[in-house]
Parts: sequence; C-alpha cells; structure tokens
Amino acid sequence: MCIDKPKSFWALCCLCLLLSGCPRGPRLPTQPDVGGLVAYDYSGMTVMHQFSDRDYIHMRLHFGWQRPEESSFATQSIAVETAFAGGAGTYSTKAFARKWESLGATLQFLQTPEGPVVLIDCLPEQLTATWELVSLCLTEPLFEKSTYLALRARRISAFKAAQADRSQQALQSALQGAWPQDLEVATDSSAGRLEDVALTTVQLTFRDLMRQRCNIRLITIGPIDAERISDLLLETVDALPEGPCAPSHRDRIAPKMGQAMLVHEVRGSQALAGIFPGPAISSAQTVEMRLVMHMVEQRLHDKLVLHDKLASKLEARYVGTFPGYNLIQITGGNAFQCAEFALSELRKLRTYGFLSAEVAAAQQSMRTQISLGYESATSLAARLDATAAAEIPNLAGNEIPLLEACDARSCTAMLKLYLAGISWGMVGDTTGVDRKSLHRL
Amino acid sequence: MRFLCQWARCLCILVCALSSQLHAQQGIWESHTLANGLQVNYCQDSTRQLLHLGLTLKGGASLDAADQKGLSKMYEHLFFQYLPDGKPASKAADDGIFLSHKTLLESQFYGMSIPPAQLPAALHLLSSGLATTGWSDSTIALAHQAIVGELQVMDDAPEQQLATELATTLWETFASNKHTTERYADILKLNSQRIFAAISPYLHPANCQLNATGPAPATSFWDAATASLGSWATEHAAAQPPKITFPQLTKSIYFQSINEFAAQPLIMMAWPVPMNDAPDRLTRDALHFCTLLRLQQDQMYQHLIDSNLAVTYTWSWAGGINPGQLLLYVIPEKDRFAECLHAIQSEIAQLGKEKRFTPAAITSATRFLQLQAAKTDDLSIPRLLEKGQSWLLSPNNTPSLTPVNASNMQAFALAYLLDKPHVAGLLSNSALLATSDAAGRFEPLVATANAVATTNGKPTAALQSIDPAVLRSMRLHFLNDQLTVDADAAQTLQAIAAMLRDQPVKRIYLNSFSEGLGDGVKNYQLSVSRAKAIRVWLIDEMHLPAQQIVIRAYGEAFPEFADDNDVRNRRISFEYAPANAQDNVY
Repeated sequence: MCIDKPKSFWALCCLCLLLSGCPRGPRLPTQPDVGGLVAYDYSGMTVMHQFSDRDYIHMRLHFGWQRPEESSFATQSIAVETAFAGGAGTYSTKAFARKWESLGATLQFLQTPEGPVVLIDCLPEQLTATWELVSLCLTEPLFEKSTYLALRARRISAFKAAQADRSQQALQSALQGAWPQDLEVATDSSAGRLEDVALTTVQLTFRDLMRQRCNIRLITIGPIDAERISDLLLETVDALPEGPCAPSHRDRIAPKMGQAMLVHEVRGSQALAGIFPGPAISSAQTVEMRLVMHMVEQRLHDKLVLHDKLASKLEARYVGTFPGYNLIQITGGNAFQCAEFALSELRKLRTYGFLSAEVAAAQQSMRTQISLGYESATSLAARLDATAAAEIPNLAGNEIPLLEACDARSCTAMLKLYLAGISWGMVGDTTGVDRKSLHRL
Repeated sequence: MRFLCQWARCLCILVCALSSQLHAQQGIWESHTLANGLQVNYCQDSTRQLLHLGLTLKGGASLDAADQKGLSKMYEHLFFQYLPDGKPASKAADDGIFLSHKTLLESQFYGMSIPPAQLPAALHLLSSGLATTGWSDSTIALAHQAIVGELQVMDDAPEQQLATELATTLWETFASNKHTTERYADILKLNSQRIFAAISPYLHPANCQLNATGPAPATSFWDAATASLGSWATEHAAAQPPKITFPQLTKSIYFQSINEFAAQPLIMMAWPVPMNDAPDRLTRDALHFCTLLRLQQDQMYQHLIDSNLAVTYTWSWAGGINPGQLLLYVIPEKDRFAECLHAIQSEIAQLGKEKRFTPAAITSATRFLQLQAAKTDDLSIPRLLEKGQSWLLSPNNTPSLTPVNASNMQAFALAYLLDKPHVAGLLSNSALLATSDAAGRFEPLVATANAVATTNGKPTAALQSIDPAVLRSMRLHFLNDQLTVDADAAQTLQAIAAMLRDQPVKRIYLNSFSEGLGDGVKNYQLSVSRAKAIRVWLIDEMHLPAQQIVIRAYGEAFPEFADDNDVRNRRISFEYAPANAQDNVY
C-alpha cells in the first residue's frame, strides 16, 4: 500500500492510535509494588529479601525442576528432602536433628508444582547458627541410607493412602485424562517408579543437578538487612556447582480435552474433577483468569450447592503451573448429575457471559484475598516464590491494578477463549454414565 | 545465561523504599467496655492492610447435652448463615469480607478479614448474627449440608481419621466424637427453637469479647463498634457456661492397627494435658507443658534414638475442640518394637520425677516457644483467636507468656506430671516404611503391644495420700482483713486438690484461725469467711465435690504463735476428716 495522500496517512495514524488504545487484555505494569523488596543475583543464585519488623525470620529455599530425562521429578524431590533430613557434615541424621532441636528453629519440606521447597523459621539471633546447618545440607549432605529408605517408604505409603481418597482419585483421573502422556508432572510420579530409585541416583541428582546455583532461589523475610543474607551466602555459594539450568516445564503441552476417566465406586460420597486450559502462567492474564474462575465457582456453588443441593463441596480455580489450567472439583451424592448440572451452568455462562455487578463483587472479594496474601511472612514468601517461578516477578504487588482493569466483557471473552472442552475424572457410580454427555458444552 | 541476567536485572529493579507491607511496628492493645458490658479490644497495627475482627463467645462443644452432640457446631454454621439483607453468607465475600468460624471446647470464634472501609458492614453482620433468634428450616438444612461437607472432607483424609480415631478412643464421650457423621443424625431432628433455646442463655454481652487489629485509627474503630454493638442487649441475664471438666482416662494404653499400607508401625500416642487442674491458665500452661515435654527429648533421644530403639521421634500439640492432648510419634527400629514400647513407657513414667532439665535444653525450649509465639502473632486471625482464649480462660487477668526458666520449668513438671505417670493412649501404624505387600503384617505387633499394655500399662496411677503429719503442717496465710491468700498458697492448694481428686473417698477439714488483733467477733466472722472462700475456690476452680471439704472456724482461739497479734496466726490449716464430719461454723 502506498501512502501518497495526507488523508490516507491520517487514516493510518488514526488506525494505529485506535489499535494501541485497545489492548486485548491487561498489561503487566512495569513498576513493582512490593515495597522494600530487595532482589538480586548472587553468583548465579537468585536471592529475594524483604525486611519485616516481626520477631522471627522466615526462609524459603526453592529448588527448580531439572529435566526429567536426566532424573525423574520424584527423584529430584526426594533428593532435596533427603539432603535436609539425612545428616550433614560431621552430623549423623540423629545428631543433626538434635543440633537443629537445640536451635529451637523449625524446618519443613514442601513439594510444590514448581519444585521442592524447604521452609525454615528461626529467631533472628539464631540466624547464623541456623544458616550454618542449612549451608551444611547444601554443601556436605550425608544421605544416610536408613533415612533415605524411610523417606522413600513414607512417600510410597502416602501415595497409596492418597489413592484411597475419592477427591484425589477424581483429580488424578482428570489429570490423567488431560495429560495421558505425562501423569508424572502432576502427580509426582508413581509409587512403583519411586521404589526403584537407588540412593546413589538420589545423591547424584542433588549434587549435580538440584543444588546448582541457578537452580536455587532463596527468599528471606525478617528483621534483618539484605547485606546479612549476602554475608551468610558468601561461603555457601562458592561450594555449590555452577552449571546450566534447563527448566523442563515449558516442554509440556496444553491439556487434552474431551477425555473422561471414570472410576466405579458405589460407597460413600462421589467426587468429580474437571480440567480445561488456562493462560500461560507467565502472562499477566493469570489475574483475570483467577477472577473468571472465582466467578465460575460462585455460579456453580449457587446452583449446585445452594439451589439444587446436589453438591456438598465445590471449588473452581486457576492452577498456575506449566501450562496453566483450570480445575473444577465437586463432592456430592451423585457425581454424574453434578457434572451435567455444572455443564449446563457453564453453557449458560458461555452464552450470556458475566454481569458487571458480578465482576465488581468478585473483584472486591479478590482484593481482600490478595491483600491477605501480603500480610504474613509465610504467605508473602510463597507469593514471591510463585511469581518468580512464573518468571513474572513484578506481578507481585501488581495484582490489584491488573484486577481492576478487568470488566465483564473481557472476562466473558476469556472464558469463551479457554472453555472449549473439559477433561473429566469421576469417582462414583458410573453405571449408565453417558460419556458423550459429559462433553456437551 | 543472557536470559538469567535479564531476569536478575529485573529483580534488582524491585529495590525501592521499604515497608509498606511489613515494616511498621505492631501496636499495643487498647481496651474498652461498651455500655452493655461487651468488652472490645483493638490494636492499631500499620503493618496490616486489612482489618481483622475476632469475636469470642463463651460456650462451645462443652455446652452440648448428651443427646445433642454437635449442637454448638450447628449454631456456628447458623451464625453467619444469612446476611441482614437476606443474602447467603457466602456472598459476604462479594463485599470483601472473609469469614472464618470455629467451635472449640469452651468457646466459639467468629473471625473476619475485611478492607477497612467495610468495617461498618462487618460489624453489622456480627451484630445481626448475635441478635438472630431463629432460623428457617431451609437455613438449618443448609447449615447441616455445610457440616456434612466438612465431614466428608475429613472422611476422605486417612491421617485425619487416624487422629480422630485416637481422640475418640481416648475420650469416649467427648466432644471430638461429633466429628463422625453418625453423631450428627440427632442434630437433624433439632428445630430452630431448640437450637436457640440451648444457645441463648450464653448470648450475652458479658459472655463475649471482640478483638480487632488493623490499620484503621483507634478512634474510628471505637465509634463504629459502639454504634453497631453498643445497643445489643438480651432479655436474659448472662448465664455462665458450665465449667469444663475433662474426663479421666480409663485406659493407659491402647493399640490398634489402622493403615493397611504400612509395613512397620508408627506409634502414635496421645498424652492428655490435665487442664482441669488449672483451666484458667490453659493457654499459658499448655505452652509450658509443650515445652516441658519438648525438653524431654534429650532424655528420650538417649533412650530411644541413641540406643537404636527408634528411627524417629516427634512431639506435636493438638488443640482445637479436642481436650488438650500432646501427640508423640515414634517409629521403632526394625524388630525392636516391643523394646521400644517398654522404653517409651518407662521414660514417660519418669517424666517430672527428676531434675534433669539442662540449661541447654531450657534454652532451646525457650527459643522454640518464642518462635511459635512470633509466628502466631504474624497471622492476624490466629492472633485474635489467642487473644480471645486468653480472656476466656483468665477474664480478670489476661496472662502473658511467662518466660521459661529452670525453676518454673521444674515446678511445671511436678505440677503436671506426677499424677499422670502413664501413657494415655497408643495407636500403631501409618505412613512409614511401607512396602507393597504389607497386608496383615500388623497382627503380631498388635498382639505384642497389647501384651505390653497388660504388663506395663496399668490404669492411671492414683496419687499417694499426703501423709497426715505433712497435711497438718500445711498452711495458708491471708492478707490483713482480707480473704486474699498470699502468693505461696496456690501450690499448697493445688497439691491438696490433686490428692482429693484422685482419692474421692478422702475428706479434709479446713481449720480457719485469725490473729488476736481487733474485735473478737469480727475476727471469728473473718475466719469463717476465709474458710468458705477457700472451699468455694476448691469447688469452683478445682472442680472438687463439696462433700470432700469440711470447714471449721475458730476465730482468735488456738494461736499458733505466742504473740496473739502475730500475723502468722491468721491462717488455715488442714487435716483429714472422718466420713461423717460436719461444718462447724456459726
């Protein structure tokens, strides 16, 4: 196209202005909003520190996932736990536990979808002594065999116990339907595979993969300055290997829709889980998706729990993993009936969309929810960790402006965009269940 | 690598002026009593973005009649069931109001987290809940549905079932029982009038306390609270909730296999905290007690861990509506199950009998307590819950955490552990050391454990009688012209109360004397009043039956010291009373 007339030129300018004035969705603010957060790279290790005038220090040591081809996720997870529980330096497992005990500090292992996390709480005056122990676990873990076997057995047993939980069964079935080729990521491996993992594999996994500097993120919140954290890290970091970190999660594909995995169980309550795609976790759209799912939950709750009294418990939420997806979980007397009623309500939503008043109410609710997430050291650390894992660290503190940018139209558009089909997992009386009817959206 | 650098740079940009979230100092508590008697406490705290409110209401699961177990839980779910404008309570979140509620043994707690602008709406919601006098059948059905939903979630969690099973087994008729679906069948039959009739005597401003914390200025909070709750009044006089009495354990050891997936046992043991000794000090003393047991780890470690009897060993504290119980988890070493059990029993029997708290152990326990307190303070709603509990258990003298030191730690050991030397309960199993072919492997262990129970786990041992001569030597002394005892009296009274509780057939005389200073008649009356005051205290606070305590007043007669005016003559002494003894006062 040749722009040879002023009229055409101005028309083009107007078009550009028009387009630039109509962004398709909220954009991530460029300025951070969490006051006082100090975030920096320390010789390859990511460190985030927030001063807080509380009487204790909370530390969150996050280990990222490495490629499952090199070591399974289950192995990576248990490797980190064993490193912190299986003795270190000159301390055996028992001696280490007693040493930890003497500090009055607490250590907790947590498995998140984005990797294993070690949570540490201590008094400010015990920080140096506490960090010495943490550092010892990172640099000189002992990996006592008896401890490893106990931890491994506990995981296998817990996995089996979870299999008896109907809600969990339904969730696993839905995940299996959505990612038939990749159950491991969502469920932390099967018990059978973990039984074959040898101690040496676990040791190598921790030493060569998990504790690479670039794979560790340290978040600290407490009444100390960031310089103190740097001082503590001085010797620890030098002892940690430098190596390439290749996050694997981006290889995962979007969930497969239209699958139904049914588990026949006639006793007790019945459970249902449904999965449909969501926006990528690294996008600013996650805030709007959370808002949409909040409203979906309200609608379904009003219909299934309050009005029709079909379900006793209902949850709907956006799950921020790679890739992000949306999850609806229902417990009730008749899972199939719950699914049909839920689908009917979702169809209505797709057709008529959300109301402005509904969006305003959901925004108000989420504002409180978001504010709550910034109040305690533990919740703030978890939030910082999640946004850093999603590689949008400046999302932390900016959720409320992003939330306020949403309206009924954009929310409806988002629901229509992603709610194209649902993958179901159902635990209940599956006699006579029409699989096709589960997907008539 | 370039990406990482960019990301790191991005993170570095986040450095800016600190502390909008967490920097400012937490404030101090201010207290007001409204005209209707409702006590309101507020702590202006600029570190919070939200306002948090917590209403503590006296009376909880302990109010439930035998045939109405779960009634208080039902009321809890009805409290916020409907908003004043007829919307379901679930819609409160649309106004940014987050609700939480809890039924405890002795109280109910209603919490709210709100944006400061919603304070009037939240207070209105609270006052509406308090003023509601009845509910429709459909509302009751919804509350029931919510409870069933909660129960289903618990039914689905094996670990939760395990803890409930243990609590139910140990405290057979206790409130924890209502965590089973069947127990709620009776509640379904209750109508609105019956629920309200049961709960209304306790719905009184004098039975409630409102605690709040947040960034709003204190003056605006007081104004809003006065406007919303100041006019709340009821037709009833405040009824005192019944005293909490905790059932005595009838078994000292109990063993059962639960988890079919486990190949070797996790020994899970419950240890009751004898709160009926001092219910008004629950919060403080439970913490101390926790610490005390924590201190034992040094000894336990030596006997269980260092001797290779056990793989791991952990204590935890379970509060909530269950009676205070501490849980001990031990995983025995392979093939050393019975030895481990015997060692545990032997160790627990020794607790509190010896001075074996090393300075290092005390230091570590103190740190642990400080850390726990700091973590609770960091969470607004738990902080308010704790504040309410403190008021409930010590209305006139809100306790603060007493620093733990060597001397009071030993005192706690003696006070709490001497009369409970045995293991309270034992349950095997759970999630450790599993293999896939575990079915039936617990059977021999159950037999072994029950054998240990038979030989070693005798019923809770009764405290030895206090020697008559020792009893006669015990004294209470009073302040001049007052009914108030001096600081040393509490320990004496608690020792006597513990003995009487464990030996219900024993009776004692309270012999009350005055000094010779002043009018003789008045002194006699004062000695009567003092004896009666002590008896009332033993009955009300120590939960002793009235017939176990007989009082005798002597006025100025029988001075113990030659000088009639010696203040040490102003005393109460004790001695065993025969079965037919009568009060001797005029």
